Amino acid sequence: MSFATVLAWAALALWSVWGCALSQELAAGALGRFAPDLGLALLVSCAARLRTRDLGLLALVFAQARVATSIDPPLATLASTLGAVAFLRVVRGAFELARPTPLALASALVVWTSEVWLAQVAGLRVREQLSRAALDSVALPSLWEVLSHTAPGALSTALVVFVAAPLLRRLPGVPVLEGARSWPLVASHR
Amino acid sequence: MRRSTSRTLFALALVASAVAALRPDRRTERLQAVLFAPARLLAEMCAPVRWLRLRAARAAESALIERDAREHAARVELQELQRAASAPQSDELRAARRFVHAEVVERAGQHFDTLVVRLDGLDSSGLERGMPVAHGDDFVGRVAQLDAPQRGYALVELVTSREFAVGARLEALDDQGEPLRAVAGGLAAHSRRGAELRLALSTPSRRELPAVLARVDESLSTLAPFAAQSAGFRLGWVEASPRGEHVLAPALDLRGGPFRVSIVAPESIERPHGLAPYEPLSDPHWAPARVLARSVGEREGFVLSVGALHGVELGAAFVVGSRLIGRVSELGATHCAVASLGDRGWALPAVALPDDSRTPIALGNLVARGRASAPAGALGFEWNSSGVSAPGAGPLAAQVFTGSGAPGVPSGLWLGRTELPRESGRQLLRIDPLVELRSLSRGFVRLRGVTP
Repeated sequence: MSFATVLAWAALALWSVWGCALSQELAAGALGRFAPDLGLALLVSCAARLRTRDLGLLALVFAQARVATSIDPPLATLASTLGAVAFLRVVRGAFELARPTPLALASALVVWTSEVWLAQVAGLRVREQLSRAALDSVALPSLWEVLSHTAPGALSTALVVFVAAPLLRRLPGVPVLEGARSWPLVASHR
Repeated sequence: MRRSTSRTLFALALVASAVAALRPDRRTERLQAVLFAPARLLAEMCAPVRWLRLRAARAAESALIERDAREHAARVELQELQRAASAPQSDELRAARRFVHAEVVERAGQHFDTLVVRLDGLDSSGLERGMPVAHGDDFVGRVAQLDAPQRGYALVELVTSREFAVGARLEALDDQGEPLRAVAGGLAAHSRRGAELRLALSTPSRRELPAVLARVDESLSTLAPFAAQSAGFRLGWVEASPRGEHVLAPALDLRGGPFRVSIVAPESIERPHGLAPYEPLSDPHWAPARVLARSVGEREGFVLSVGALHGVELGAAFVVGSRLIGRVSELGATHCAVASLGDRGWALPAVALPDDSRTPIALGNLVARGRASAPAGALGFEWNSSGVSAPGAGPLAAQVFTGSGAPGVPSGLWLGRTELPRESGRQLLRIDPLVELRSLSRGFVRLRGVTP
């Protein structure tokens, strides 16, 4: 890996952590539940174009950024990120994911599934903790509640991806990762 | 071939991380601390985003500084009232005995029927194994071990313990005019999770027992060296179980409380008078911590600048002044995640101090339900209430504090204000912290090596 590539990965980590932190600030402000998940928007935008061999590293870098800004269990966050990247890897083999509409739809799905997964892990740990303290389990949100609660955020993330995915991919450092052999180019040669 | 290997590794990493997330253990926690060490550096790099909320952070901290003197005074008052409430109220029980106050610190690991208590002055002089332990007029158990798990602490075996047995005298007479007797101790066979605890009652002196009060009476036992000290403390009310057996309904909540106890000793013991209770907020076992990031996503909490290498443990309290902000929920080597009070699923022992009464009410364990819909900024907690008996009608305005028994969390930390419903059963408490705590930028985390 060249020095320029290492710097590019570091830049991506920085953009990711800022995206996550900024999303939280927007959610705490006027946007509330409608705040987009800028970190996931960046992840989806990059995963659509990066070389297949770099997708694992992309997931790891993004998971680090997410763990730096989240109280969710780190391994659950890693599993969620790896799952999202695996999903995008499969989808981009079947659809033209570089186009705005499929990419926006995929990003909404990624936000939803990762929130559902993290809610399930959190719920499981709560039940375990309460059980250890010989307490009754508290009523945890149902799948439908989690989906409806995160719907505004998923839709606004999809909107950001639809409008700004190309801009996100042009953040300083990110084009270096895409390089001369990006996924759409490789796929078109096949 | 290479692509196939990378795909397999990717799938393995996905499955392994998912399984480890669902079934956490100490090994995976150590692994994740190493794997996510770089996250600390990234969290530091959130500084430009933190600057966006500098004004809100300053406002929250000013509000907390303004309230701190009041909250600290309320804490001191609560501690004094709890201390007074732990001693018997009846003159008969106070006579010819000495009461040594102790604060319940936690349950002893897996032994749920054993309390770890901290003695006043961290001094066990004059005390002995087997001495009765009470809360107010109610019998709690016996001293099982002194200076354990560390000097100045003691283990108390609760009356709910399986092997526990104590003589009971009922407030009723048999046909010969003798008091009815039985042996109490251990949980009744029909006790279930979520239901009120009942004590087992065995070998009664008559088959049918009336629904009366049972008190401790070990006068018939030659093996009870402190029978004179334990005599007369309340055990509970006799009632018939669904299976037709007789059981005792204790007056105390033995599942969530008690938070303070008195060790009942002979009056003649050699022990200095006026030993001060230990004040955890004044000791050096706190680490200053900066908030590196607020949690993204559905959960509410912070990422802090201290971790396992600084001596932080899971469950440790994150405080500002005398106020609890959250508890450590995930631990990295040099950073940690704190779930704040607005996060769902917390279980926390709590005590309330009503505005119109000087009698603290032990609430037992509250379970967090996340942010309540009203009033704005309030926190929802589920409370399994046994009913509140206090003069007047309608909800009772009260301040709520942490109780004793949560590892890593000192008792008496201010949580907020609430309106206590008087009815028994499962209630939703709305606790108003009065300050917007989500913008905080710093605080202190409790360190390991000491009990709370």
